[in-house]
Amino acid sequence: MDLPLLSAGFAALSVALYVLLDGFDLGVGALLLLQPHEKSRNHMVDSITPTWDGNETWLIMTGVTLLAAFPVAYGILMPALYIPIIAMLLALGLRGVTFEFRAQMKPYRRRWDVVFAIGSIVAACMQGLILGALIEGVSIDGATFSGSVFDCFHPLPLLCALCVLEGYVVLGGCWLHFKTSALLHGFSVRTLRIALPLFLLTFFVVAGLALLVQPGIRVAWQTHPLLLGTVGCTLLIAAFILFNSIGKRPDVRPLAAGMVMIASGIAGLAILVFPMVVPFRVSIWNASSSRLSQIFLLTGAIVVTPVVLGYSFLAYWVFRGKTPEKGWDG
Amino acid sequence: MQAAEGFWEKESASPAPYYWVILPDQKEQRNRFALGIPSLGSIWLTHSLHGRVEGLKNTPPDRQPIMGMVFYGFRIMYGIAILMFAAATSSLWLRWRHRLYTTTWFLRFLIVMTPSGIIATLGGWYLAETGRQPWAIFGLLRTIDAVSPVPAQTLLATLIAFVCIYAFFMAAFLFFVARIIRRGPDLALAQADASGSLKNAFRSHVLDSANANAVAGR
Repeated sequence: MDLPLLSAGFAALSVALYVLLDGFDLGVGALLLLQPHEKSRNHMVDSITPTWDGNETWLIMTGVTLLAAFPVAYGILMPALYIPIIAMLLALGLRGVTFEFRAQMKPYRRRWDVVFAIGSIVAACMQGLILGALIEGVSIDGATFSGSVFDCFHPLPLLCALCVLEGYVVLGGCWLHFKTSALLHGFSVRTLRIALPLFLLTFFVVAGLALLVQPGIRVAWQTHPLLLGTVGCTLLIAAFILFNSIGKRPDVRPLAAGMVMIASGIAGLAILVFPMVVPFRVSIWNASSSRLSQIFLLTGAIVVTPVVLGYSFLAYWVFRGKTPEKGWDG
Repeated sequence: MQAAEGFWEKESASPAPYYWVILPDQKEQRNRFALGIPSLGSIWLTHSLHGRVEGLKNTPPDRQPIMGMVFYGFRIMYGIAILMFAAATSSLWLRWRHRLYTTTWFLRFLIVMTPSGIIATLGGWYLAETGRQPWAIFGLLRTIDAVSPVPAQTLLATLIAFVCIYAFFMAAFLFFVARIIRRGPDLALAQADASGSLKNAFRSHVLDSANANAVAGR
């Protein structure tokens, strides 16, 4: 059996689940900055409180998989992406702590909400920066990183950061559209009407720029024109459905369409990058660890994944339906 | 462990003392000053009255960790463990005598012991991290060969950012704790107004209202 391929599949699944799940709660966090009413902000935070930390499990899964299964890639990518990764982790830490402090310190809640939003925005942007740097391609010499840690601040990664942030805001808007009612529902409608076109515009600029900067993408389009075309069309159709379902019933449709849209974006990226683990540089098989490490990792993955999926599902199930406006303390 | 007990010679004198304070001189491979309890080292470390304890000279100097850091990391961790054990046993004794909540000296001792857990953890951490030097992976990879290609200034900058953010957390935490303490135990609510806890969500009336909302939303 092709173990490195399996491990890569697991890593890809973790990344996809992370983006889809944590994406919307980072988006909700970023939207706190635009919401002037404290009651509505409480409501927004309440809607993500039950599930946000479960969502972030997948980020850890990705890191562990990369370290255990593809040590060469880990060794190249960690120094290359050092600044955005550290900034992202600090921002996520800031956000996680704020969850607790905003609940406990009522008089300072406004300030904590600003910190919360900044943490969310920085985390989202840093993920975009990482994505952009990967698309542009990191400089390597043999099996080590040979570029500068500031390489990720080129135009393409910076635009990518904006794109990911907008994508998360769209997901966050979809989530609020689904989970809230009354005033906040209206807020989500207004958000989506502005954020979705902005996201699509940035997305196309990024895609065009990526095509110019990274020859590997042109090659991939020539090898899989049909596959990539299908994925691209799915993305556009999903975006179209999303835009048309804003403010209409069922409330869940924008979220479903948004998830399909982002998922097809990830699928497209996977097709572009495959079979490389350091995009356009090192392949899955050249970067993989020993067979024994792979078996060890995959065994762990088989045991842990159902557990994580199980408790995530339970959390979403228990807190299904609209988030009560009085919050969970009611 | 050769560094953790504070002995330099390959074998200590017999019976060996148990050192609490030493002033090690790494270059000359000796202690300039050492203070300990006689014979206790033999009893604790070798479980006999006259046992000899291995010293750091068993390891070649270029492979030795820095004795002082390992020694004091271990002493802090171990010393606090003894104090914690003393606190636990005396609390049991006082509880048995029905004096647990009225013995002022003991309660004051507990206040002083509040940060003991974190300090002991840090001591243990220093013991482990300095004690394994110069190895990153013992016997296989030296720390100096495992250095990342990220420039030192970048690492310093992120370390400073890390310290700043965590100092901010710490400040907020202390501010919050101070407020609770100032409020005193009588005013504390059984369940804080908005505690961030989700236990409430499982109560039937909250679930019902959520489900009612869900039905209304369809």
